[in-house]
Amino acid sequence: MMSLRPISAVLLTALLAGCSSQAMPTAASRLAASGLAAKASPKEANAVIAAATNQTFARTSLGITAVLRAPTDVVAQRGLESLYAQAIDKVLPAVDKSLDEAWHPTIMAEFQKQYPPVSDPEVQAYVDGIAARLAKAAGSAPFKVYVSQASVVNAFNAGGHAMMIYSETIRTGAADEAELASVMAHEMVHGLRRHAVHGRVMGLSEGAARHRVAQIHAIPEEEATLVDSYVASLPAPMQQDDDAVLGHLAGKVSPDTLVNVRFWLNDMFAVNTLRRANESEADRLGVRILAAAGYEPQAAVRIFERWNQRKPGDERYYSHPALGSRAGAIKQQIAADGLKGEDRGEERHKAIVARLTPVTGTEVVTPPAEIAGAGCLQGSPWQRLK
Amino acid sequence: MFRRSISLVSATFLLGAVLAGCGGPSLPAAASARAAAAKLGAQSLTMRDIDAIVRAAASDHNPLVNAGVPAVLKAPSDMAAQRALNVLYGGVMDKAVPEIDGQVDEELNVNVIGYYKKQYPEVSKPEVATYVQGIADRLAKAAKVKPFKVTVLDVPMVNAFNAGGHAMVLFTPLVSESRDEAELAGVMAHEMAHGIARHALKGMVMDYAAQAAATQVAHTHDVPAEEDALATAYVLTLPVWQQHDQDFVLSHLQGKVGEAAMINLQFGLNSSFTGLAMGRAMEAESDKLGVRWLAAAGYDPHGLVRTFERWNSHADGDTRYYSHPALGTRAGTLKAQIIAEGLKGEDRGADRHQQIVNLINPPAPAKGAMPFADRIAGAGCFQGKPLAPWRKAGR
Repeated sequence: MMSLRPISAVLLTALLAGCSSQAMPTAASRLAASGLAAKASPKEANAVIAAATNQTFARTSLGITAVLRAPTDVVAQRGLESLYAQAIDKVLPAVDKSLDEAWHPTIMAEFQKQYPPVSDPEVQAYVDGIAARLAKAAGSAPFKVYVSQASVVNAFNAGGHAMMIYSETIRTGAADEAELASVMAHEMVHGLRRHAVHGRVMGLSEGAARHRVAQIHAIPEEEATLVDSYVASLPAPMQQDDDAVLGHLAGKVSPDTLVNVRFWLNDMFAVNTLRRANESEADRLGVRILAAAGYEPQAAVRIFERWNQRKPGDERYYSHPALGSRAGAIKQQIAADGLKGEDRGEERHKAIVARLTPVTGTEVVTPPAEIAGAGCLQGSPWQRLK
Repeated sequence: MFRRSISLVSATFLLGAVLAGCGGPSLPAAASARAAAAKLGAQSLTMRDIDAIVRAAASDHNPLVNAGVPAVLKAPSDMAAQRALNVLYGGVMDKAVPEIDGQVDEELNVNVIGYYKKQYPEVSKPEVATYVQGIADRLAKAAKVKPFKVTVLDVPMVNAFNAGGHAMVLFTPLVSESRDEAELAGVMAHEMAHGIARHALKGMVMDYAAQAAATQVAHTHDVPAEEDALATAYVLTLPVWQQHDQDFVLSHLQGKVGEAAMINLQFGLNSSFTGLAMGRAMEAESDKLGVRWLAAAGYDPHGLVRTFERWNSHADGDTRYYSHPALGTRAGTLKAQIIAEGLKGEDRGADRHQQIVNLINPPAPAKGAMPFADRIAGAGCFQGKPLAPWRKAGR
C-alpha cells in the first residue's frame, strides 16, 4: 500500500529504473556471447531479462499517453495490463528457460537461514514422492522441494523447478496428501508457466512507465516533501487508504503531482490484477495436474474452503484472488474438464504429520521480497481454525 | 436516451435521471404524495402511491445531494467519487427512510407479491406451506420480531425475496434444493433481515437520490440532444457484449462526444457502481443478521454457509457489477462471524425437510436468477446470479 514513505520511494524507483536501464544491453549481449546462460547467476539472469524488457520500453512509453487519457480508472488499469502483458509476451521467448533456475538456489538458501529446514528424511521422501508423481503427470522435469519450519500456511516458487513448503502447510494446512499435492501442483505451475519472469518484467515495465509519466508531468521538486507532510497529517488508518490519500491531496498539490500519484495507484492495481490472473492460472492448471496424477481434484477446493473464513477486504490490493473465489473457479474447472481422481492419501499424510514438530508463534512469515508476492500459494496469513 | 443504451446496469439509475430531469419533484408529485399519505391506515396503497410517498421523502433531501455533487465531480479517482456518492446516498437513506410509515413496507410487499402471484401458481401441497410457515415463526420468535408471512411460488429458479415488510416469497426449487431445514432456514433468515432492515425502501430512496444527483450533473454539464443520438449510434456499432462493458463504452465514446457528455457518463458509471456496492452492503447486512437469528432459533448456523459453498461453483466476474457479494466471499465472511460471535446451533432437521421435499414437484429449470428485472425484488433477494439448474423436475 502506498502511504507517506512509499510515495517518495516509488518516485525514487521510477527514477532509478530510468537511469539503470541504459546499461543493461551490454551485460545481456556479453552473457549471450559467452554461452554461460545455463550457469547464470541471479544477477546475470536479471540482466538478460532487463535487456529484453528494455526492448519493449518504447512501446510501453507510447502506450502511456493513452493510459493518461483514459476516461475511467478501470480503463487506465486495463491499458496498463495490456501494455505489461505485451511486454511479457515479447520478453519470454528472448529469455532462455534455463535462466529461470538462476534464482532459487540463493533464495531458498537465504530463506532457510531464517527458517531452518526440516531435516527428517521421511518428510523429505514424502514431499519428493508427491513432487515426482505430479511432475510425471505434468510431463515436466523433476522439482526440487524444500521444507522449512515456518509458523504459517504457505508455499512458494521462486522460478524454475523448485518450491518451498512451510512445515505448517503440511501439518495443519492440508488435511490429507491430496490437499498438500494441490498446493504443490499450484507451485509447480508457477514454475512451469514462468511466473517469476513475469514478475520481473512487470517490475521493470512499471519502472519505465512511471518514469515516462514523470517526464510528461514533472513533479515540482519541493512537492515530494510537501506530499509527505500532507499525508502525515492524516490519521494513521487513512494513510493506508490510497484513495483517501489521493482525495486529501487533490487541490493541495499541483495537478502534475496528482497525475503521478493517481498513475501509481492505477499501476499498482493493474499489476495486482495481472498477478491474480497468474494465481488463477496456477489454480486452474494445478488442479488438472492433480487429477492427472490420480489425486482427488476436489482436494484443491476443500483446502481453500476450509481456510476461507474471513471477510475479504478491497480486492484491488490482493495479490491472490479471495479464497472463496478460488474455490468457486476450481469447482467450475473440475466440472468443465470432467476431472476425476480418487486418491486422498489420508493415512500416509497422517503418518508424516505425526513426525513434524509444531511451529507455533504469531510471526507473519513473508515470502522473500524477490518473488514480490507472486509465486506463492496465498497472499494473506490464514487464520487458525477454531 | 443514449445513457440508457450503454448498459443494463445503469439503466435503472439513468432512466430515472432522464425522467427526473423532466421536472423533478414538481408540485403535482408533492400533491400525489400527500394524497397517498392520507390513505395510510385507511385504505390500501397502489405502487403509484408508494412511489409518490418514497419519492417525496427522498426528494426532501435533494439539497444534501446537490451540495455534494461538485465534490464528487472533482474527486481525483473513480473510487474516491464512489465513496463520496456512498456517503451522499447513505445520508439521504438514513434521513428519509425513518420518515416513511412502516405500513408502506407492508403495502409494498402486498403489491409486489400480488404481481408475482398473477404470474406463478402457489405450491399446491398445503403441508409445504405449513412447513415453511413453521420455520418462519420459529425464526421470528428467536429474532424477537413480528411474524413473517411466507408464500411459496412455483418460480423456476433457486431464489427467494423480501419486498419490504413482514413477508417473503420462496421459490419452490429453493425448498427442494436445500439439503436440510437449517439450509432453508438460513435463506429465510436472510430474507427476514431484508424486511426488518427495510432494505426495499432503502433501495428505492437510494435510486431517487441517485436520480437527483444525475439531474444535478446534467444541469451543470448540459449535453445537447443531438449528441445523445450520436452517442447511441456509436454504442450500437459495438458488438453486444462490448455494449455491456461500461468502461469500454466510455473509452469508445471518448473523443467522439463532447466533454460534458463524458462527465455525465463517467458520473453515471460511478453512481451505478456506488448503488451496486450499497446493495451488496445490504446483502452482507442481511447475511450477518440472518445467521445470528438462525443460531438463536437453534439451527446449525453453518446451514447458510453450506448453501453458499455448494452453489459457489463458478469463477467470479467483475464484482463491481454484482448485486450480491460473490458466494465464496459470503461464505468466508459468515464463517468469520460464526467464529467471532461463537454462534452455535445443532438442529439441521434433515428428516423433516426430506419429507417435505418428497411432496414437491419443482418446475422445470429456467435461465436467470429472478423472473423479472424488478428492482425492488432484486434488492431484497437471496442471490444475484443464476444458479445451476437442478438435476430433474420432480423426484
